[in-house]
Amino acid sequence: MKCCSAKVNSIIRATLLSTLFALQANPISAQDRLGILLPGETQLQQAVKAAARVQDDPLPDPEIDITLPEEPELVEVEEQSELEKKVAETLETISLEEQIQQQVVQAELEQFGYDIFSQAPTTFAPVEGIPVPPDYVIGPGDTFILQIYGATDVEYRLVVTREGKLLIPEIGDIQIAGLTFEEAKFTLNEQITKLRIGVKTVVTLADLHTIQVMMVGEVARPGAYTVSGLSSLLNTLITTGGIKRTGTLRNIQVRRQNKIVASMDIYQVLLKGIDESNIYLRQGDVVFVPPIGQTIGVAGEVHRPAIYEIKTENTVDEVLEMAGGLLPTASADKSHIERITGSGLRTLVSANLDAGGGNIEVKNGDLIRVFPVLNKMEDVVLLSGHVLIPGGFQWTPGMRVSDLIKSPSILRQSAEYEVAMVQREITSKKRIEAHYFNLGEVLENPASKQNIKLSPRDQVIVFDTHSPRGNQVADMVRKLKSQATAFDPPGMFDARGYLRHQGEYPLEKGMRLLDAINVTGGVQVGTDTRYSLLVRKDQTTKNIEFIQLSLDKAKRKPFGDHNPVIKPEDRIYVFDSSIDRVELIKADLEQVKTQTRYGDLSPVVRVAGKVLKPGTYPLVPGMRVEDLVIAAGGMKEDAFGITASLSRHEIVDGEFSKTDNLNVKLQDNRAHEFNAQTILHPYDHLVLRAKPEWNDAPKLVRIEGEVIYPGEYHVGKRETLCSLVQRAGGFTEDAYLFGSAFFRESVREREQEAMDRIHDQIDDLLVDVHMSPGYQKDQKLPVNKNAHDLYRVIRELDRPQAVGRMVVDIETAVTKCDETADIVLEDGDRLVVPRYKEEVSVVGQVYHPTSHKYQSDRAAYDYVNLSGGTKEFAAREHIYIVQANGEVMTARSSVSSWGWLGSPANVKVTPGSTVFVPLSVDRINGREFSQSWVELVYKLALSAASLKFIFEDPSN
Amino acid sequence: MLGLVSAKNMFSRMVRAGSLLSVLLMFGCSSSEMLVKIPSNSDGATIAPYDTSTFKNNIDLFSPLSLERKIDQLKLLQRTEKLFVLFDNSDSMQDNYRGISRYDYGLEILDRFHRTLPNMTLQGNVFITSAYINTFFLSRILSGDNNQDEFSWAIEPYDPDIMQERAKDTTQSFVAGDGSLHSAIYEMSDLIAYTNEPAALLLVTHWERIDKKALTAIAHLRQRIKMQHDKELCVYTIGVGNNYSRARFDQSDTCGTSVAADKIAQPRDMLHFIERMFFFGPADTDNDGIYDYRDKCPDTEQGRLVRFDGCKRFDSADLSNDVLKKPLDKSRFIVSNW
Repeated sequence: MKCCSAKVNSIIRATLLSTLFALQANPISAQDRLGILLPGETQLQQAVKAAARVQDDPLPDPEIDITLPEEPELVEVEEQSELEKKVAETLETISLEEQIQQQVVQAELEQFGYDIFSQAPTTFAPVEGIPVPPDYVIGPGDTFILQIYGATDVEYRLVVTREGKLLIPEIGDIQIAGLTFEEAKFTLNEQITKLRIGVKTVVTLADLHTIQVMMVGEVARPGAYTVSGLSSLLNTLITTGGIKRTGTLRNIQVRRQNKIVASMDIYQVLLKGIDESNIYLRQGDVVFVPPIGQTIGVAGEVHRPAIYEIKTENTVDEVLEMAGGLLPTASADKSHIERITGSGLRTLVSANLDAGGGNIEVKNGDLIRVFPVLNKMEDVVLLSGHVLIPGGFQWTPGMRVSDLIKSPSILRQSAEYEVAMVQREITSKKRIEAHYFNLGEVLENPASKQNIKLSPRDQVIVFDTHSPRGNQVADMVRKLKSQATAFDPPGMFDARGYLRHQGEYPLEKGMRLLDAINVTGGVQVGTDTRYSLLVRKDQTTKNIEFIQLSLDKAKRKPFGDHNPVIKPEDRIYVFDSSIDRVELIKADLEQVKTQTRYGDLSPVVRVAGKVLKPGTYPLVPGMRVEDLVIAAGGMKEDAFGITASLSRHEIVDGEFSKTDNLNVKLQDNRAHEFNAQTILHPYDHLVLRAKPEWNDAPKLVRIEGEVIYPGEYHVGKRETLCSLVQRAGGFTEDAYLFGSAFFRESVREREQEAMDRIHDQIDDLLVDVHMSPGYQKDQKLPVNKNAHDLYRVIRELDRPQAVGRMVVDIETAVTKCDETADIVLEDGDRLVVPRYKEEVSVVGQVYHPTSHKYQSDRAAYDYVNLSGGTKEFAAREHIYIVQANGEVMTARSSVSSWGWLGSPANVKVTPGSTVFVPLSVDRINGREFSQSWVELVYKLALSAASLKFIFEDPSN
Repeated sequence: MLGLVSAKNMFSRMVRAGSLLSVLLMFGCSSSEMLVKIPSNSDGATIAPYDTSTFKNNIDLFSPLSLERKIDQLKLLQRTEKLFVLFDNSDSMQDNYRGISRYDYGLEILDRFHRTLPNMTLQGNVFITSAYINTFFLSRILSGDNNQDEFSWAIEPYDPDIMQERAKDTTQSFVAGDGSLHSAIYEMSDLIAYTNEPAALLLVTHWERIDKKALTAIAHLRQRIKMQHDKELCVYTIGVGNNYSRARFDQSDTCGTSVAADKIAQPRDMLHFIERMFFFGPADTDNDGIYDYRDKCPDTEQGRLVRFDGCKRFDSADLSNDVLKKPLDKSRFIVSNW
């Protein structure tokens, strides 16, 4: 009967808050549930974050449902790997100390129930507009509204006096205080009806009286409060700021006239909704909150992980019931209690809830941890990789691969048929291992041995032919590495070089070299099947050694030495002709060198010269010269196969080394000779030379013009111009031997180099000129007119192209054919024999540059004059004659005598010559730097002039 | 008693020390930089001032190292059983080189060579190029008779002491040629071609004596050996008169080397020279590529991979198919179809 709406309201609120509390606590406990023991720092961060979340955002989205963990599913590959990763992480070693440390942390746990006080109302305003509960006790200050109707119709608003009376006009006073509202109503009705006949009365309460209560003990804000007369205990506690975390929630006492009239257990309200002790306070009541009693923490897989205060509860079960009971993911048999012992230390008491652990008595300060079940699935196999439907499948006893992969239809396009992998967990040893099988064989013939048996939790990985395989096995390799111990090296091998899928792979026991190569995609076309390397690590010393293997021999004898059983941490190198094998094995070779100690020599040998891959190779036991040649990929075609030289460091007399040069006769097989069977020593250096006079590039020369058979000729090593002309059928009648031009590539290159150098010098010079200060100092960027002119000239010149003409006396060379005059031909030589021409050209600074008929009595200046004479800017004293054979001479330096009065001599010219009248450089540039570019201008002009004659169209 | 014994020992030590001193006196102790120390003349010995700065580099006393031990330990194989030495004693060898004549220099080197020679079966002889008093002229003997058996006189057991004497004393020497190097080589070629065992020709001469004609002579000789016996003649040259090898006999495809006398003057180097000349690497009986002296498993089957200790790299167990079947069904493997 003691029920009213205000109370209901408060209860609703309380339960809501408690739910929220549970929600807030969950993100923190989530990690417990997952069983991940994070490192301390991460945990700290999480705790801080959680704390921040509680403060800043007290009302998180209630939609988030994290009370139930996701059901572990084996549907997607990614999910599986994530799941497995978690498992792997839990498998990681962690010391006992650390683990306890992790578990001790309970800052993440909140005390249960205090959250209902977290939102203190801002005012103490009495609650209005709610029905007055019938058991409300009237006191002075309550305002009644009396409506009397019938004979008279009046309405009074009356306040209960301090004496507790209601003074009603025309009726008198009625003692009313101390009565409940229900009683007061009855009394008033009775009295009024008694005194005034024929009226009816309606009694309601308008304003309620206020009462004063004392809040003392472990409350947030102790003191005297004036609260609405309609206040309940819980209500008052909430509005006055609530109870401190040090105060109890289980035993709140209300004292009235020195007697305890009520003692409240808020847990009853929060956990069960029972609020029978939530009484209405009266004037003068004292609310006393005693200090908190015994507390028990509950963490892990329960609905409400928190710190609980216990009153009558004294067993684990009872505490767990308070915490809402176990979650479905809880692993009831793996719970324990963290307890503080009498000696002040922490200890763990295991509480197997499945076996009476629930009856263990709890003690103050205990922390009950309930661990989650492991995220592991039993009796499943997983199919992953290049399949259409990856995911988990039920495992049945006796299951084989063919039961999982029944037909190729579930494989995706270009799935690898040659090899597929099974990742197996050895439950008894807590290790994983790999198994390989031939998928194609399984599909074709389920009875074959390739169709291996599957175990629970096997993971079948189907590879594909193209994508990198390393990623698919990387996870497993990582696990293999992490599960390795000093006595149990990681069961993996490394395959490098000319393989379809290089990388590290899990190793299956008993696997051989060819199997390992098969796993990486098989032996590729173009593999060097005579030389492969196996690098084996000694598991006691960690020293490595090289083993030279031949895939050919391995193939021929599958159980022979050359197809050895691969051991953990082996590294396989497979080569082809293009891969840089020397570079590939360099790191391992370096290690071999560093692990060699005094008294031994590093087992390395070098090979240089005409082998496919010269460089440093490991010296394997029993290695011979021929093995080294094979290691280097064999001899090149131009190698001199008869002898090679072997430099050997010979230690004589203990410590002194001498270098011996041994001549190895590769094709000799006599005993006691150095031949291909010679045993190599460390640091031997084998040099294979080229065949003598090996001619790998054909020498081509060209002969053009006036010969009988012009064209391209292939010439021998020491063939000369004379013999070439002979082969070309000799000259025609019109051939002008004196004017023949001989071009050579090497000459052209040298010329070009020289020209470029001059050009570069001029460029530099230009920069200098531009940078040099002008005549007037205030001119910041001097305008040097000369420089501009010069620049223009050079721009027009552009880069001159050398032609590579060699001045050769063809006539003598060809007619005499003797050693002094003849020329040995080089590749790219070119002989141009022009037609005889009786003309002399005049170019340059003349008024009419043209050609003139050659006449033997005319000299250079005669031709110049025939062309109208020199122009104003002509450098008369620098006139050049370019003779038909390419020789250049100035008029001055010729053998002709000087003219009188110092005028230039008049030189005789030959038919086909060009007379070149250059520009006077002084006219365009008076400065001293002119000299170098003049050279260039001349060179250019000369080369043009000299070829003018040769390349003239013969039809003219 | 004890005192007597020790006194006796002391005495014997003194005697030994005295003999050492006399040897020292004989060989002299000059402070020059030359590596070979030879008395400037046969009877006069001088004591050079003691000079520590050059002491380290000079071993004045030649005490040959024993090659026998090495041969025994490493089981070296003898590759040359015939040795013909041509000692050049022509006029040009009388020039002074480092204070003494090249002739003495060459003789000393030859002596050191002879003293270092290990105990082995060796046949051959020593020839000189010119004689002052004619005794045996090889040419005379050779030209007289075409019967090849006549050469047997020139092939005798090679006793280093006798041979050294033969080089030294022109009255006892066998002379080949008319004094020039090439004529000597030509004359010896009949003799060398007569043997069909691996032969070595050792020239002790002055670098400059190796002229074009000598080169041709050697080339002819080599060709002849090749044609007649399909064997190779190894020509070794010890050059007197320069620190560096100036011989032009060595080609990359021929057998033999040339060294300067100074380079092999020390016991260690002489030993190495002789070892290269007469011996071929340690024996490897089971042909596994590991020399016998370090082969712990001396009878490895042919074609097996071995370790550096000569034992099989892979256990036989690894190779058998059956063993592997037990733990896991290994016949699944070896399925590659490349």
